[in-house]
Amino acid sequence: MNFILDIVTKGDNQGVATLTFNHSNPKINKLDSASLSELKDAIADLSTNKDIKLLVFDSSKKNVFIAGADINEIQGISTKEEAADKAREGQLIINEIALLSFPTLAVINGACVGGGCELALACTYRMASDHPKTVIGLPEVKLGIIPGFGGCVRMPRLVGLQNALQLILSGKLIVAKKALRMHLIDQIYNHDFQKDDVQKMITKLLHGRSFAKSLIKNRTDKKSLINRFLDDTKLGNKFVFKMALKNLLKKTKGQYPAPLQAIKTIRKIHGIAIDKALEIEIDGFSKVAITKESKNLIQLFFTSELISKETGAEDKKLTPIPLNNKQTAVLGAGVMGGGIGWLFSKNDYSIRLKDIEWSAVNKGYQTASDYYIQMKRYRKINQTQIRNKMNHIAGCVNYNGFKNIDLICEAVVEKIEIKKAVLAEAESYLPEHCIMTSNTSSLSITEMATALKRPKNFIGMHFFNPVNKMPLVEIIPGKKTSTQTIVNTVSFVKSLGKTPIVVADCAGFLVNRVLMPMLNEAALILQEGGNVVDIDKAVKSFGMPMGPFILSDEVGIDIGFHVASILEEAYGERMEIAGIFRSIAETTQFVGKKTGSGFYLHFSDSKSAPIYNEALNSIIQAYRAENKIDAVSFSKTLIQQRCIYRMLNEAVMCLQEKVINDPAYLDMAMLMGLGFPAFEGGLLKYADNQGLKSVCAKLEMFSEKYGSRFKPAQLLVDKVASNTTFYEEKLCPTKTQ
Amino acid sequence: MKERLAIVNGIRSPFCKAGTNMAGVNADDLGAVIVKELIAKIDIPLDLIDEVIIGNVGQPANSPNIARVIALKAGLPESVIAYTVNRNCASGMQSITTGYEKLLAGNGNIVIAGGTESMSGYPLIYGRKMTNLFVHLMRSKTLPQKLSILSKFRPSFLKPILSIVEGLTDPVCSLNMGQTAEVLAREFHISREEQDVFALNSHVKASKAQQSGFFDDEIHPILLPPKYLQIQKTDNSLRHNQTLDNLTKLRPYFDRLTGTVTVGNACPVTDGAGAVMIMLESKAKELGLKPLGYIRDYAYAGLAPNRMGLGPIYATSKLLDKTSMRMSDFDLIEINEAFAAQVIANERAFASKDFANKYLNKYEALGEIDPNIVNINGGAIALGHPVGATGTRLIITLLRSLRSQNKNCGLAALCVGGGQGAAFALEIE
Repeated sequence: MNFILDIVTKGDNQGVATLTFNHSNPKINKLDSASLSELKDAIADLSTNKDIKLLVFDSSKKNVFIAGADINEIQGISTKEEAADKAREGQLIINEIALLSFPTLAVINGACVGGGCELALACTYRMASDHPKTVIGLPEVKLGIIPGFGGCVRMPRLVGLQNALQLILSGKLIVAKKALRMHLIDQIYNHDFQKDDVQKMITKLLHGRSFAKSLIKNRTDKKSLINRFLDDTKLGNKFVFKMALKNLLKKTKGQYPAPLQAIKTIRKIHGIAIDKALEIEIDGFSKVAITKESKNLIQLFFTSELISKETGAEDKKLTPIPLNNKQTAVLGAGVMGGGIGWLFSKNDYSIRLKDIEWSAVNKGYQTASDYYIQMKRYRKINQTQIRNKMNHIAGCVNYNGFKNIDLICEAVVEKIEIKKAVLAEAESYLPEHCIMTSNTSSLSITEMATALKRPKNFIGMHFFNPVNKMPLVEIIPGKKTSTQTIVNTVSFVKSLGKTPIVVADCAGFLVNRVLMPMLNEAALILQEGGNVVDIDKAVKSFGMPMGPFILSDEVGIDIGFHVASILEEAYGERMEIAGIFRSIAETTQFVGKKTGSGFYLHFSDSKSAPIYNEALNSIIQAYRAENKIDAVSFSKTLIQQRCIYRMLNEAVMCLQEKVINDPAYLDMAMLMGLGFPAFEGGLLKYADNQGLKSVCAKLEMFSEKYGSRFKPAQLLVDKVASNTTFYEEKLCPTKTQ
Repeated sequence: MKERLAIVNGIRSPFCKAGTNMAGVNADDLGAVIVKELIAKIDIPLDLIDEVIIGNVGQPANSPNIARVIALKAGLPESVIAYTVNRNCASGMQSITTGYEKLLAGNGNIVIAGGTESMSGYPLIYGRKMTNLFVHLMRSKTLPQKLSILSKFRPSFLKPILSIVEGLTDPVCSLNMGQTAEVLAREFHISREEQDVFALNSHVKASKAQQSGFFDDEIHPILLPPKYLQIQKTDNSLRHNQTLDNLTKLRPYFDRLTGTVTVGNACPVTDGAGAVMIMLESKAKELGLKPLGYIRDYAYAGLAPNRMGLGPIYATSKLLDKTSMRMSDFDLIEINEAFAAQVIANERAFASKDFANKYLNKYEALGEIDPNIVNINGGAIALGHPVGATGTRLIITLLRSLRSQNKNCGLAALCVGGGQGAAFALEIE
């Protein structure tokens, strides 16, 4: 049974029915087919019961009211008709609740999300607890769908068009305080006094007619004139829809169909009769539920659920040992060191930020303080809190205090000899148990470990720049790294709010190894006749967050070139650095954003966008002349294909060489490390969707035309031969949540 | 005899003239950096520490019991207790002796004692009239009420009270600290020239000490918020090119017409912090630590508030009685330089039989002081006087001076606003 029904027949609460959601899943409540049909029967029974004066919905689960519909069922939808049936099933039942002859009250005592929120919307009254885990919202667009249980219809009617669009298009979840402000709920209650507060509410609803009236009146009161105009007039609505669409296109470039559909649907149904509106909602839902974007996003959701449960070890019994005293140290206070210092301090680890000179330490403080100031701008922190967090960082130029450090992260210059020396020196001051990590982006962990006395405690922990924005951390065990160290580091990275993915120790690890060929391919296209701006535009329009050249500028051409050299040395011909890239890097005059000029000219005020650096023309022309290259032009599609397929081929090689074992994890790493577009689901998912056969054929064609670096990876050839895909063996992993 | 107190080690921040480089650092943050760094320097596990005691005079409104704020910000476990002490200018010393007394009484084994002061952070305060206006305004409910209260406002209400001026004025004798120095200049007949020469010497000695790197090991650099563009590594109020001429040109500050005390021969208001780790000698031995030095004994003494500058001799007299030591036992002496006149007055009083008869109830003079062993690395006139932290600095600096000179026994003494004095007998071996 997924529900507990209790009807009070005597006493003060006579006539109060309580339907408590108690899904068979021990942790959450969800509206899957089974519980929906059960709910249907319960509502049908109650609707004919003349004794009931009030129906209360609540939940038996800690911190969860209803977490939404069953995502597995949505993932399984393959036709429009199936989608429409699915939505209609839930929508009808929820509509029945709205049609009950007695009032209903939703007691939201935890996450009230998606279908759960839609159920609450159908109730007459809603009250929610002030617990921080009590969040309310309609995050459907994040899974590539739109609310289909009446949310598109009821939300705008309850909270006004502007608020509704904001909630539905962003998919953001809000806490009770905010929900109260937009009248999504009628009352907020003290989580620790739930029983008393709910009883008071019930008593008032049972005995005070005027109270119930005032609750409803409250919802529309105190609305400013401008909001009345925007929410409640035709002209105002028109303007709101126009702005919402404009902002959405700016943000998503139209690459995500769900929010677009949401706007379309809400526009169509705004102001029309509810029965008709519900039908239109179903139509909208079924259109997006079968898109590949939705399937991709749901797959990513499942993958992230899985990754969050990963411990980093096969043996699930091996549990992480938390850091003794939360004492950490970072060696090297550059931009990365400062960023890592920021991250550690933000999560209340005490950190010693060591460099050779005080001026360098100050640079690290600047980065950390910068990231805090950015947070402050978004009101995520105030000045007092910043002072407190900055106090977790202690700059130093010696090894004072290292006897009591639990974890260090080395972030010095990317030269293996220097790293080895720094790590070996630090090790002599550190206690036996200390985990030593390196933030190297491409150097061998196993090689670095040779300098250490305790290689079992040593591991790669690769953060991406900028640390405050990039969610991914590559965890790289060396040959001698102990499993306990892996498990501890994975758990540590999770405690920082980042996503750890364990990859093998190869040059460039996973993300840079896949990224670098793309940057290089872009440079090759440039020397063959393309131009910087067009190439960047093409790659960006594919869905990448930025083009390869602007990315090089952000990273720094010198650093990019350094990493490219390491990869060239490790992988030989297929990673051979494009001649033009070498020429530009060797002038050393163009370094990128940090000096103001690279492939682009960058301006210190953040408002003016970078413009192409004309000074490169002479270098490019000279290079073409010297190498007798006749410049040809490239179509957008060709640029995209060369860049993406080059990455794709390298990604397959990584899988083939077991740099990472799970294609879904690889895709997640691409998403979080490279910003590969989520609607494509990741590189390998993209390949699956394109059809491996056609991908393979295209690679072979490129291989002939542009060079053997495109020669399809053996694993890809095998998959084509056996007619399988990367994701074929992946079942919906959260079936047994 | 009671067991000696081991000063395991001690560090301090640079001392900066108020309103200059460290003005943006709050007193609690400054203290926290120093306490954290001290523990790192000694590198003992945090959970061995029992208590943090911090001296602070102008406690910031946003850090009530600043010692607790510092302890937590320095990363000490929540279980470590902390409290703040205030004996005005001797607060840094008070933190040490309070800790000493607790240790002797068996309350704990290891204490962090220190002092912190951000005199830049002393606020301007609304006067009573303005405060009342605000109170009434908040209590009033209707618009007419509010308007009627507002109509009583006069621009003069906005005149602020400078808390630093209030703090440096004795509420009993109504003299400010500079005026008490004038009292001593008159009593001991100390000329303007003598005072200026003394001040010049302080700068010369401090400058030499700084340039020779003497302070490097006791100062922990401070990275300067909010933008961290600069680092403060040294004391900034001392002047390497100080000349007597420049000092002579200054006008008397506290008694503008006939006075002798100028801002040049007085100490500047200063920001700074310092901390030491203390434990009984036996505990240090048990942990295998090599302390910077020991406190053999100490004394505080009270005197007339308007002659507060003589605190050192009153306290020293008491200390000598307590320990049966003689002035000749001390190899080096630190007397805090609140004012040149005040230190010179002490030197004269130490040598004076009359003074001993009249005020100390002693037959012989306490003992003449060799000026060459006093404040050999400069004093507060050059280095500054962050009231809560100076006591801590005197102890650290004197122990390090003794070590650098291969000497063993030192006297650290200090005058205290309000009419008190402090004196400490320190030893290296």
